[in-house]
Amino acid sequence: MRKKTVALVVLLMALCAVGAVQAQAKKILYVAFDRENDVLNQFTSQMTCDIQQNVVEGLVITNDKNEFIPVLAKAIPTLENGGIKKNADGSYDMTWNLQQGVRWSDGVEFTAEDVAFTLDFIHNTPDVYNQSEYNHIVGAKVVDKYTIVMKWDGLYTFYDGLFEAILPKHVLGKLSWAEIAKYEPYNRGPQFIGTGPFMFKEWKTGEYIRLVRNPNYWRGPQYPKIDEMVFQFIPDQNARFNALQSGRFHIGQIEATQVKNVKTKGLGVKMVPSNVFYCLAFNVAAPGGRPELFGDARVRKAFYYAIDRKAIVDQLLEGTVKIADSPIPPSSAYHNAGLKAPEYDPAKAKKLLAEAGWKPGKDGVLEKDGVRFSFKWLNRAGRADRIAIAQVVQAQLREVGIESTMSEIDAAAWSQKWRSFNYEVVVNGWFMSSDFSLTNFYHTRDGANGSNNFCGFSNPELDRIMLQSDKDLGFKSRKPLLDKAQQILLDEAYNVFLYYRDSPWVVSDRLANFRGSGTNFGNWWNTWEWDLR
Amino acid sequence: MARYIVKRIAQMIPLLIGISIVIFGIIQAAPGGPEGTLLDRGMFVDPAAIDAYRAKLGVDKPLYLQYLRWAGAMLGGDMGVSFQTQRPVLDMIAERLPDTVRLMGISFALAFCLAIPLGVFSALRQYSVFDYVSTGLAFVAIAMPVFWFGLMLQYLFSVRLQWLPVAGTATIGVDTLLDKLKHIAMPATVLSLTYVAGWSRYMRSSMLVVLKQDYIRTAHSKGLLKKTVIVAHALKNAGIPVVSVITQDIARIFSGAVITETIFGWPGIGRMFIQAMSARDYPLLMGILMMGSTMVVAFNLLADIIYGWLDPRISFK
Repeated sequence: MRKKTVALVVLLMALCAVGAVQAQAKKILYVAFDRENDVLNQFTSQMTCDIQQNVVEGLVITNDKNEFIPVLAKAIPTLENGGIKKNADGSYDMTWNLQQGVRWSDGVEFTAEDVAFTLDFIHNTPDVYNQSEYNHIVGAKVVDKYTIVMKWDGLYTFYDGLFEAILPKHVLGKLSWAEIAKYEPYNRGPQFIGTGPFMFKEWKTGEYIRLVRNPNYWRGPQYPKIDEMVFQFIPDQNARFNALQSGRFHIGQIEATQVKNVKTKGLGVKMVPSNVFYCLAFNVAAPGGRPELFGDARVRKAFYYAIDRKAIVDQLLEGTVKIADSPIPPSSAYHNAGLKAPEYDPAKAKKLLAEAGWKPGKDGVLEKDGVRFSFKWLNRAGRADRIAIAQVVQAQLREVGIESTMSEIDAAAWSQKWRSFNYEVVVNGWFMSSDFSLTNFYHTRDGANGSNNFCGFSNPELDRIMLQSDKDLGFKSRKPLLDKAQQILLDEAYNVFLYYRDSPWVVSDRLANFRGSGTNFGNWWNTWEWDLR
Repeated sequence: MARYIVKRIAQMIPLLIGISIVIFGIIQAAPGGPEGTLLDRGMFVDPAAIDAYRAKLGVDKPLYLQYLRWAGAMLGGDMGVSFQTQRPVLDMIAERLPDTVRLMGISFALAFCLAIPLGVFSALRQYSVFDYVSTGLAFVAIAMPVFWFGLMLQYLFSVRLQWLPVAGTATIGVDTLLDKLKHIAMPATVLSLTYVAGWSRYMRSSMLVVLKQDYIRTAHSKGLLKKTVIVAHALKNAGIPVVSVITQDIARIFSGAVITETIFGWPGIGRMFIQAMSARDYPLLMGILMMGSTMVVAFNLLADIIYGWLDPRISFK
């Protein structure tokens, strides 16, 4: 009798324990997110698409080592693996073999038709931000359900960064291209479907987007390990910091200056190296540029000597970032580690400026042929980090006899002035794609080439090297080209490179398998294996 | 009275047309366009895509054509489509109204219930300790930056004490009054504080003027109860100038509160306005601003009607 009672009690306790485990088994990841999406369609959205990547997968994605890895493709086609072949007419055939047995979350099978449909949509939607890259794909043929061959008009290093998302043909195929861009059920759910580890559940406007586990995820029933993800929109950086500190969120991005204040138990800070570099950019082009000041490489180089970059990194950014000597970050194999920009030395700066003909005038400000070395910064309101840098640099330049004044306008106005060359000097940041092509930023402005060269410089040798590197798919042959390009950029000092931005992320100790990535695909590339313990 | 109201409403129409021309011009005069958000990513952007985007939105057309197109649609009850979300502006505003009105309404109600008695008591006990303390606190509240006060409350109640959530209107999956109150407590406090401070000052000075009037002395000498004199005679008359201040503030009930909503991640119209502003989302901006302008004009009329009720000397002709 007594034994029976004991057994019964043990059994009851075991049942309670199971019940308790089941009750708390639902793993919900709360994200303190900095912005609200415009539309969910990744091709017509004007924002980076972090949330969508958990729902919609592409052929490829980038991992935490800045490498492209296949997702819905079995492998990334290359010349070596025979996935890319040259045709007699000089074009290239690129064969994508797709994963088999992948289903959209509504149960319909994912096939090569969806990939062809996505390409068609991009070709017919001119406001896709990188349509010109897709326009080098001049034809696509669906061979079978799992194979699609794309014909390229040449070789481009960016080819494996395309198709970051695939659109569901069975949902959108009935609509015209213009209708798709406005199709609310896809743009805001509930028809926003993908093949990814999570499914769209709810978008409470102004408040949050909620995703739930896809029970039929193709990587296997054990994935994803998290049941729900909630992205709460908290745009104010201080409020977001408070939200994370309150312990109600598991992950969120903070500012460099907030890192030392993270004190909540159970939270840690992960510095995610990003593909963003910050620099000073000079304008030498009409209508707003100052070629008489910045046209001389010696003057630009003197800025390296005049600016104490170490002090900016150590004090202003509290040591959370790394000094940059080139646009390509150290996380990439294409980074030229042999470069060393001139170190802070005001005496040398003065000497170089004197060599260039700039002599101190009556009030100590440098002069040459009656021109005072005085320029205006164009700062973007709301970017406290960039404004602080401008202020520090302003003070350091004063030491070598260079005068500068500040002006500040809001982001949209700033973009317009900057893009139309109506500025003199800015502190700017660029987000590089993982193919690390430099052409968009430094090529002579000429149609699509150099479309983001808002400085107005032109260097034929650099142009040639960059274009060559853009068509070179072999690491060994491409690396020396990009090394040389980085060398020229440093020698000519078109930009004064300041630092690579490492983004501080507050991450809960409970979150497993977070492997932050600083590419434009961001941290969410492997959420299928994330877990909350 | 009815004729007066109809006449006033008819006068509102040309006024609102004038307002719409002015704000359309002003928001378009700001440099930068809707393509700015695309560039803000700091990534490669195809220049042809920017032109295509501007053409799709119609912002490449001359300004007067854009205005006529907008005004024509507006006459047909169509507020246009947001540049950012590709959704009807009306839907976007309607979706945010309930949360906006809830926050603003509770804040106004709270402010009203506190400010009026505070102002009255301050006036009745002029130069007392209570008067000095409430005056001092009112000035502190008026001077204190809203974002700072909001962040401090968050730090105290969310980070330190962990009593209240930082952001949002409710916990997901929880639908209880208590949960909603917990979410609205801090934003409503922050928002109502400045109104309490402002309104109580107006109430106090208005009450002080009225209390010195002859008819109040007469009422006292008639032997009326002090309570009756204050409530029925003084308060009603002192309320007249306060009404115009309060109605002008309450006119913003649909416009939301920009800073408070941003700090507390509240899904209101104010935050949507700021986002629309930085994205140069002209149709959405026009929609929000026109709604706000209409409310101001309408509440002006409402204030005038309340005047008539409070002050029989005013007649509607």
